[in-house]
Amino acid sequence: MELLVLAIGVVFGVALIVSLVHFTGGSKPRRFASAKDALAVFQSHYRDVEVESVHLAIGGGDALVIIADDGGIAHLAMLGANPFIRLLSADDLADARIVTEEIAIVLPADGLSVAGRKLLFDDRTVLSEITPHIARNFDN
Amino acid sequence: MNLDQLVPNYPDVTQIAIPFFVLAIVVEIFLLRRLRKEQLAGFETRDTLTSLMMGVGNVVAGLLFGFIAFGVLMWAWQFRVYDFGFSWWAILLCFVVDDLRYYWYHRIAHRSRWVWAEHINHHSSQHYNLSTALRQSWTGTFTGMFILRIPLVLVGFHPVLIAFVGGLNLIYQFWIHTEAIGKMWRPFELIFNTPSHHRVHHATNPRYLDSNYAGTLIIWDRMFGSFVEERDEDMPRYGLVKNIGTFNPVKVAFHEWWAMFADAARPGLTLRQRFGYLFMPPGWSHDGSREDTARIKADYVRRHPDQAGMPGLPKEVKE
Repeated sequence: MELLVLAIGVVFGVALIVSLVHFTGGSKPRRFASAKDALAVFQSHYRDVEVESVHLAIGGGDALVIIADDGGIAHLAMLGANPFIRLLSADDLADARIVTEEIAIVLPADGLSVAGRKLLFDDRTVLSEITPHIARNFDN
Repeated sequence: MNLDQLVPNYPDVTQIAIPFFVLAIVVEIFLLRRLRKEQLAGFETRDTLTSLMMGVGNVVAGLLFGFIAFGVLMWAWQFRVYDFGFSWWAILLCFVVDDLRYYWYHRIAHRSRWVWAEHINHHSSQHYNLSTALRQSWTGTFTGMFILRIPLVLVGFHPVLIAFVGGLNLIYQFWIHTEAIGKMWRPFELIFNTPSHHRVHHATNPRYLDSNYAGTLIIWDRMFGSFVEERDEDMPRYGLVKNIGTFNPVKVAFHEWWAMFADAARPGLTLRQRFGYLFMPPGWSHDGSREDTARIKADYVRRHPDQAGMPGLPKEVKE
């Protein structure tokens, strides 16, 4: 196949598909309406996992799910129209810290877990619940 | 007599299939919108664009680096013990043998981090639709796995024929990347790879990890013990055990290569441990601090003892 024909076909095809997905609601941004909503999203993916608690970040774009029986933590983020879910390891939470008296920020460390995403919480109980899962103390 | 008279000028079937791919995705978008099932992952704009860009990058990588594998295979052709030619039965036989080759390539791709580093991008979407099929590798040539085709050349299949049937195999695998088709006619499901079987392959549920490696024929998984049936009560969740939160195609293509070499270059490791990070299964670590597939499955059985011994899960786990 001639390269030019191939290139035109590919560009046209990509444009057509992406436009169709966009105009049929594929880019519609979503937010978690509540911790319960975030829990429902998590459990639609992880039916077999028992959850201890769910913490909704300010703005409803993210949530942290504390898994029961020391099962770790899951990060839920709304990326556009769909939820992203990632099970976090201790390393991911290495940069967690308090920046003010009221708010905690968690920065997953490897740059791939929704790179640069800051999770802001006004609920300080999240700190005590994630502390056992990470090596570092929240002294800073 | 020139080369064209000896070797058929087979078309590049994957490039010819591009209009069909586009049309099929358009149909699937409308079909899923009509189904409107909440539990289906459906389409998301940036995810779809990333998948398509990975497909475009794969075509470009093929144009740039395809000559390396083809050159090696053409070099090996002089050592063939037989010449099957290009008859219809030779094409059919080559397709089946190459499908077996694909099964082992794919199994190695999931069981050795060196090859997983290039294959991981195909599994990096949390969606499962026809665009996911096009989320292909840019770096396949550099794993050297094309050497698995050398035995086919040595027994007498021409490299052009092998490339042709390989293209047909990839086209077959396109349509099975969909949630729009449920389970199919039982005899078909017994022999061929289907959307149901391949959903299992893309799933991260513990029981489904490292299963259903087939390209076209699912018989290889049934023969080699890696087959797991899709279960209604355990709907597949797609993506990676540790999902990546990026739509950047360059990051998708290279993140695991970067992570792998970073692990292998860590200070204080023995040479054996460095090689372990390059070639052992994904999730392997020198100090056992990470979870590989075996541990994920064992943990699942520990939490769900009633599931022990079910397909895809170990019979017993050590405490």
